[in-house]
Amino acid sequence: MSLVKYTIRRILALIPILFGVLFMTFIMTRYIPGNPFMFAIGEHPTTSQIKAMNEMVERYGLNEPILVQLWMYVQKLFSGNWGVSLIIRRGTPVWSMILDVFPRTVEIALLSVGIATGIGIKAGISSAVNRNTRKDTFIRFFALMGVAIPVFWLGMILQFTFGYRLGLLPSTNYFDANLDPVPKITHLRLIDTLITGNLIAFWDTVLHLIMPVFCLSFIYLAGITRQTRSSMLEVLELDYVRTARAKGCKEKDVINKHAFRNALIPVVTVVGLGFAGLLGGAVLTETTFNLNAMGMLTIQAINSIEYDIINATIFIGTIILVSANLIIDLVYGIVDPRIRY
Amino acid sequence: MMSKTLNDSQSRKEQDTSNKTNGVLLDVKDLHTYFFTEEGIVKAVDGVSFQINYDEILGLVGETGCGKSVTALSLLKLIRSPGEILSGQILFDGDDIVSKTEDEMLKIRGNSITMMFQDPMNSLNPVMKVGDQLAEVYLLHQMDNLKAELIKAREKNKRLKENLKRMKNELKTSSPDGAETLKNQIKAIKEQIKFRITITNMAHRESAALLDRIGLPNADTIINRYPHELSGGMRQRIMIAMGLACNSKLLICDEPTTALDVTIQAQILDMIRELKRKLKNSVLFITHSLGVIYELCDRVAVMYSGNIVEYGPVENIFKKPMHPYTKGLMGAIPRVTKASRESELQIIPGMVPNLIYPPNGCRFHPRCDHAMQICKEINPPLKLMENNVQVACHLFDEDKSNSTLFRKLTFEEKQEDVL
Ligand SMILES: Nc1ncnc2c1ncn2[C@@H]1O[C@H](COP(=O)(O)OP(=O)(O)OP(=O)(O)O)[C@@H](O)[C@H]1O
Ligand code: SF4
Ligand SMILES: [Mg+2]
Repeated sequence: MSLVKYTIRRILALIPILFGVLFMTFIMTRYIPGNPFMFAIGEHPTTSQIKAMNEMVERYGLNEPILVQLWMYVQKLFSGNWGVSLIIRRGTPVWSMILDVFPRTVEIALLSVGIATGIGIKAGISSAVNRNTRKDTFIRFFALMGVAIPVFWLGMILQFTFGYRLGLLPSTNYFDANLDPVPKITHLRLIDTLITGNLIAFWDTVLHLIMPVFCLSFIYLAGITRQTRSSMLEVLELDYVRTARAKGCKEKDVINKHAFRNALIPVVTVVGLGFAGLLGGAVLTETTFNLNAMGMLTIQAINSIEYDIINATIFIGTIILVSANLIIDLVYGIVDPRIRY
Repeated sequence: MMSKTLNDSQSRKEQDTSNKTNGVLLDVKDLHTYFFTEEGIVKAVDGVSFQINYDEILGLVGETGCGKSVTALSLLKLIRSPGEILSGQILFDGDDIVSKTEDEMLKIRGNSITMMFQDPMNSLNPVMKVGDQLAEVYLLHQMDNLKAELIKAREKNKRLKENLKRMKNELKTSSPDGAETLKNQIKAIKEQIKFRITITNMAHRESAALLDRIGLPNADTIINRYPHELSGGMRQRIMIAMGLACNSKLLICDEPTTALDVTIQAQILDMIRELKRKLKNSVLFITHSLGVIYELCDRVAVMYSGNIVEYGPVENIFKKPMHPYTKGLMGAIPRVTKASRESELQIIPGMVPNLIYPPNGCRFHPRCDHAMQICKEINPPLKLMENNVQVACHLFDEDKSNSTLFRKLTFEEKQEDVL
């Protein structure tokens, strides 16, 4: 009961934060000199182009005072209208653009974080248990590489090797555009292709995702492994682990049953925030592999100062981050009974 | 170094003659456990030898930091890096524990030797229900009993179900007024029938029963709580229950009653005594309290700074303590008499020595009223006295003819070795 109350309270507390972020991004984007059309027509516009630009500015109300524009925007937003694209895909509603790319991001993030968490926790535990052995050194070496290697560089090396040299994997795009379109049921392509039984398209997507997911999980793996290792090392020294040993618990149980759950909290944080970060878009990886997901949309929008798209992507990113924080806090309570709300 | 080997070989011979009871369960010989820390080598246990007989309670007493817990942990090979058992033997039923592998230790821990830890705040897993932690012990060490119980419980369940069926049939034929009582009976039976009984249920039931026996009220609800939801005393009793549940041949109790009030403390001591009587197992009881030692133990070893300084039957040592340190300990017991309220509690002067750079010779000499020149040079070996007590002190050397060696030290000379 108190858990429900706590959650509701936390969600209510988020409302002012979300509005704050919305207003700030709105005002900041409008303070960028010029307007989207000015960028579109280039440095030496003809008079007719200038005339057209002014018409557009008039039409979209871009020369109204900023607060008036904000008011109009909020009104639009509450009626479910997130605006339309002015340049990138002129006339397309922002909402449908996001619906195009966001599921891709979700797919990539789920896969990468899932793989990274699974392997990272195992590796971290093994590293802590075999502290200062060759195994530990080996795992720590890879974890350190994950921290040190820039993701785009890793991506390029992979593309060069597996895409260009060996020709095993497609090096760019999310799927092969020549394939028949897949009906959008869940919007997650891997699932949609499976539901419709389109195994060719499914396999095609899998192949396209292997390298980007590998890159992202490699980077996240590093953080999760290091965190698991250090918090396991801490817990393994504690008295109740000794109690478990004194009882005659098998080493396996000592580690998995007694130590690991206690070591989990910092790991939950790393995993949760990593996932939230990926959902906001993985700009470098997406650009390297031309995946056209959230990160790339955000960058395109910023490059052509598409006000409504910038606002929308940042707003969604904020929602994801604050929800991730809330979920992390709730998971704490499940993992550790001492934490109560 | 010289003095230690001397200490050992001599005391060994004498102990063999002094233990006339029915055989030795645990025989610790010249145990050295050191911690290799950054500040230096902590010589926490430095040449300790003692024995525990079958069906005996040995008390281990000494000031804080003298190495009692480290001695106990060594017996289970639970010393973790940077600590290490450097040398010595721990013979349990004739088998040397020091040379055992970690896998072999799994069979010993909880089965043959069990330890109740000192600090109940940190010794219980904070994210597991205490019932689960206790049940784990049953599942690890009393599987046979549990299985027998499980069969019994399942049979009972079956009988109940048959009864229920019979009653339901009766209900169809019975008269209207008889039906009312039958219905009530059926309801009562239904409550007793369990849907499924597992071995874990049995372990939980045993746990609750044990908690009940050691005087925890509402044991049924307590097993579903987490350690942080219990008071310090309750947690300590959970620890004790975990120790008792193992039914092992040797039970090590590391100050199990410090956080408990006197009544509970007395109950726990009774339980340990009763358990010992029933199972004929042996106990190593570590405590600060000489009173508890006197009540509970058959023999006592007094430890000072990593060494055992006096060792023997409790009555004899209490009647006539011989080592100056033991005398000091006895003097520090508060006694409830009128005279004692007016006189001050005697306190052993000086500080517990640093175990990284312990004083040379007898480690007690900087604090000893009787310290002599020889005390600074040679660590006295344990020596058997006429009343079956062993004492490590130069006051009891036979040949005191060398007057320079047996010259009393001045205060300044005593402090020379203190860092
Ligand atoms: N893990 C460790 N690392 C370094 N030194 C240690 C470690 N454990 C114990 N020691 C040292 O060993 C010495 C003996 O400690 P021990 O815990 O055996 O004392 P104790 O007699 O049980 O004291 P108390 O009555 O307070 O429980 C202490 O000086 C302590 O500092
Ligand atoms: S050996 Fe010497 S210093 Fe040590 S207790 Fe005996 S008299 Fe005191
Ligand atoms: Mg201790």
